[in-house]
Amino acid sequence: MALDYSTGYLSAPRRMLSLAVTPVFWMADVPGRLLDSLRYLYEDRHQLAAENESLSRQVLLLGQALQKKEFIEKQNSNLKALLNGSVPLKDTVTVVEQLGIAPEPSVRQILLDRGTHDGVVAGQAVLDATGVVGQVVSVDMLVSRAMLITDAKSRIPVQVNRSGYAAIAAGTAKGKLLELLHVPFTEDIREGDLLVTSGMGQLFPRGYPVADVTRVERKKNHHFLTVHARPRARLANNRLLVLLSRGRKNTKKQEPSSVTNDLVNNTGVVPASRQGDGP
Amino acid sequence: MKQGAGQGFIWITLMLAAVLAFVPLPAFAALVRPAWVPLFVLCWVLISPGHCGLVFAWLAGLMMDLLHGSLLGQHALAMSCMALAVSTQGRFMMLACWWQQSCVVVLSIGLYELVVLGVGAVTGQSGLLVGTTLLAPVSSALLWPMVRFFLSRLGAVLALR
Repeated sequence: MALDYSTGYLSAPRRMLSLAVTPVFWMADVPGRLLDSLRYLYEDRHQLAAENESLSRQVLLLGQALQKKEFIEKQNSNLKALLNGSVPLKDTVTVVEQLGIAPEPSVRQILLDRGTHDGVVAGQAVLDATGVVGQVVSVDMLVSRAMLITDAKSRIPVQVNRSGYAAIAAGTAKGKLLELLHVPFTEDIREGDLLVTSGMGQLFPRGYPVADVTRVERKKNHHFLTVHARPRARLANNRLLVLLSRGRKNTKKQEPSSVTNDLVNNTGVVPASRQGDGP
Repeated sequence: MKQGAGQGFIWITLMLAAVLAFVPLPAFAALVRPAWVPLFVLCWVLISPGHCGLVFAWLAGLMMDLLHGSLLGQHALAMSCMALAVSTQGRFMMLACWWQQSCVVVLSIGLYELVVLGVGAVTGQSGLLVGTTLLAPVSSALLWPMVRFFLSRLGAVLALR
């Protein structure tokens, strides 16, 4: 135990051994899957058709928004180039599936179905369609664990989208909300503000939505404001998630997108890349 | 040969317990989720002391460590403590009536949870002790008569006594 705690000697044997228990995760995932497929069996045609309809409508709207985004990105990149702007960043994404949830109620972690075998490394950011979900904390051969941003031990550097004020959002013991640490009384922050990742600490890329500020409170005998925020992402309730790996390449040249879809960071100097079909 | 097959079956039941422990549940149900694996280990240690001793408990704990991604040895230590306590002090309980047995189960699963939490707290690896932590031993104790019935039947069939 001491060996595992203070040294890294046991990480390789652990990976080998964990291979033997991985089937447990797959089996534990079966009931959920069965429920899903039962839902498909019994949900009637009309409902499915309606769902299909609304989804294709959504695709249309998103595609439209994307056209505009490409233009803006182009413009942004030109402006940044004029200003000799910051280091360009390009993020590649892989789609992963959620395999389970940590069974202890006090630990907010999810299990993903990719591991070292698929090139997952600790520290990668996990996103869903609406925002940041968490980060990968431990990787086994075929599965990995990601800590949600609401875990009591999680800290994520954010900034207020409106004012640009940077702070650290911490998880809470209850595990539903985030709390901003050490916000001075004088700071301009209001309910309804959007918090996005600030990119500080290099772990989470910049500009992804994290949470909405729900409550700003000035408590007596406190040195700082109490700021609560509700996460945007549907944290543990997703089946499909996106894993971000940060390619730190200079993307002055147009690079053909590989198997993974290109996700261009808003702030990087990136020529408007071709957008393939979504994953 | 027979011996090996029996051991194999015991491990299959433990795997089953692990699956039950990892099936995703809604938040309120997760709070009262019984500690399936310790419960099964406890039962096997009492039913067939000849096959399942401390080493067995330790290995089962190691399996839990791998499943939880926790420190290697954390659950193993807790499981061994529980097995040691039960096999030295708790033998009499197999003759007692069911609610007395359940009381012993609350104590031993509680011991297990406390050791896990204690090691976690010392190393900064796991969550905090909250009131709801105490619900798992209680729900495990309520399930005890059933688990004992099924596993002792299985043990009888496999001639593991």
